[in-house]
Amino acid sequence: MRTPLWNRSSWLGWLLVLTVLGSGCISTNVASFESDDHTGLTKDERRLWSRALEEQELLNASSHIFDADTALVRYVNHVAQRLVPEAATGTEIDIQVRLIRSPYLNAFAYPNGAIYVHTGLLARMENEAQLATLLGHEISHVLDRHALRNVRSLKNKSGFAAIFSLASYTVGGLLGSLIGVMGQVGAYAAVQGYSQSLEADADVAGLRLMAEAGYDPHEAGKLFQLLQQDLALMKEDEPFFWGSHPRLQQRLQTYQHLLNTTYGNQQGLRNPEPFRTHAERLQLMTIEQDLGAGRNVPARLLLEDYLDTHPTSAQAHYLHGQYYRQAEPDADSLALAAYAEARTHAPGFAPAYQAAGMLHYQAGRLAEAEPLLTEYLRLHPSASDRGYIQQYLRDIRQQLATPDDSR
Amino acid sequence: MVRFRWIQALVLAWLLVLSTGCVATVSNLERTDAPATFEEASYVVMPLDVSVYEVSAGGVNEKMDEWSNSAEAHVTAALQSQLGDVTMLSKDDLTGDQRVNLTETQALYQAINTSLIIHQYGQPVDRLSDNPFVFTLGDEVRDLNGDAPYYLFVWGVDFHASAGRSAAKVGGFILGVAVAALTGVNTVGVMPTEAPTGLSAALVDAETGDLLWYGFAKSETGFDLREANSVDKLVKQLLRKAPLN
Repeated sequence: MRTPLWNRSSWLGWLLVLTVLGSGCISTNVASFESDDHTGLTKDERRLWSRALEEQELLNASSHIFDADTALVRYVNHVAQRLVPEAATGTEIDIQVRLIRSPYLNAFAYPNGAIYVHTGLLARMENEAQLATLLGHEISHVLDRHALRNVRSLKNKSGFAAIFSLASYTVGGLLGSLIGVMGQVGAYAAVQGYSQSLEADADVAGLRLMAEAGYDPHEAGKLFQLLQQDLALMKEDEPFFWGSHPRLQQRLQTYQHLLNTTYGNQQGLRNPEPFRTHAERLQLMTIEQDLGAGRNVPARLLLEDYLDTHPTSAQAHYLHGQYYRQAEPDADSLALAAYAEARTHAPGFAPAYQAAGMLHYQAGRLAEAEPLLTEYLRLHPSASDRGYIQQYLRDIRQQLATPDDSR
Repeated sequence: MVRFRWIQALVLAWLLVLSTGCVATVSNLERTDAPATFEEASYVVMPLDVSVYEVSAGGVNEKMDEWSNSAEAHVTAALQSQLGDVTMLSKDDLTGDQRVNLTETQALYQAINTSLIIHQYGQPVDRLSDNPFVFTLGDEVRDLNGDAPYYLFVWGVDFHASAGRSAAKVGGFILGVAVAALTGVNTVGVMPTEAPTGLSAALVDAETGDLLWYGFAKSETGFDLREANSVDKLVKQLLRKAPLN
């Protein structure tokens, strides 16, 4: 038997829905810190900030956080401060950027203005304008209080979902089931959409901040191309489900539209030199971390870029050898050539001797391994693997001393 | 006639829920090689970890700082009243590194709590009795304080419905009764209740981090960590079988 939409039990359900929706909703329409309408932190915002501070205390104590008192971190913060609009100074927020030693391309902002940038992202940027794009985006999340809006939205939408579930019990039948499904799925989709909407808002507002600070807005799109390239590489290298995520493509299109319209003729600073001076040191560290994380293709691309501009870097040639050993199992000769190149440019660079020596040893080329490992220990007497290498050398020398036919 | 019995049953159930008294379920676990009693001077109470949450209409938990601070003050007062002249540390007594260490240790203790509670209250309920009580917070705890051979860790949690959730629950109940009366179909209990009030304590070897004694008190209703008297009763029940002198 079909249940009428407005029978005696269903109207009670709808009444309940309306009552609770009216009493439980919190506004997600909050004034930006830039706005004259901003009148201070709300109670739930203070709680949000408390949770953020608890997390930051742990994060900042972690060994993965770059020392704040380095020229690089000071430089990044200097760029960030250029982006903070006058209207937001003197408010509760305090924009402070910290760097996380990680090869991944990521960054995030806490509601109180603490921003964290992964060094892997910084290492792949080309200039200060691209850094300003990223920081402008994160600062916009803070200025427009997106974390508060997100939490309030989540609470509202979960409330809707619960109430819809409740109502569906009273309406009954097919219609009730349908409302139940729509309530849950609809709320979920809205949460996802809202989140995307906030990201899009931050893209637009961040672009405005960097352009107003005098940076070239046309560099903004390049940052997102970097992200897109990394996702594409990860799909090839590590098939995560978000390798084909559509959001980045949409965001790129939004940027392109703004660059073609609002910022069509605007030029500005790119500042590649000061950026390179400060951020270049991150590249070798990132390549090493990429290799450690199994991100072989991103490591190779960054390595090739680095070698183009630093052809005599022993560390880079050594990492190239490490890449061949790890990513291309049949490329021992290429790895050995890279280690040899490293030794040519820096005869005192111990790791290149150890790596080549071990490669020869594992392949049974004991005569080639022996002088390399011996030199390694001479160059690096306090090496942590000294005991192992000494044991290998004893083994090698013993075998070399034994006639071939009795081995 | 059938509908009338439904209403009677529902009202009776509701009254039973309301009348559940202030009695908590208390569990104790002890290592067989632990000292029989712990003298007052042999342990310090580590900074407490007490959180009180508001549960929104849709079930989102939000930690309420004001409630949590108030609950922590009540637990502190109740412990001082129960334990006498014992040393109680606060986070202000710790260095920056020790605070980070404490936060991580408390997170691990929470995980142990969860594990113990699941095994104690989950199915099968007697699972713990088949296993030795061997839990540790790790020897990193030795850096937290060098003055006592044992630490007492205390963790508490409480959940309270928001106004919207309370309205939905009451509305849901009324609605359920009405629908039951009209159709004979039971629709009460659509919205789940909040998690129970819980308070746990553990005596820990300050050198090894091993848990030597663990106590847990929980109550579905009747206790509120925001109320001093309620906390006092719960702490008394928690420590009733604790090997503390």
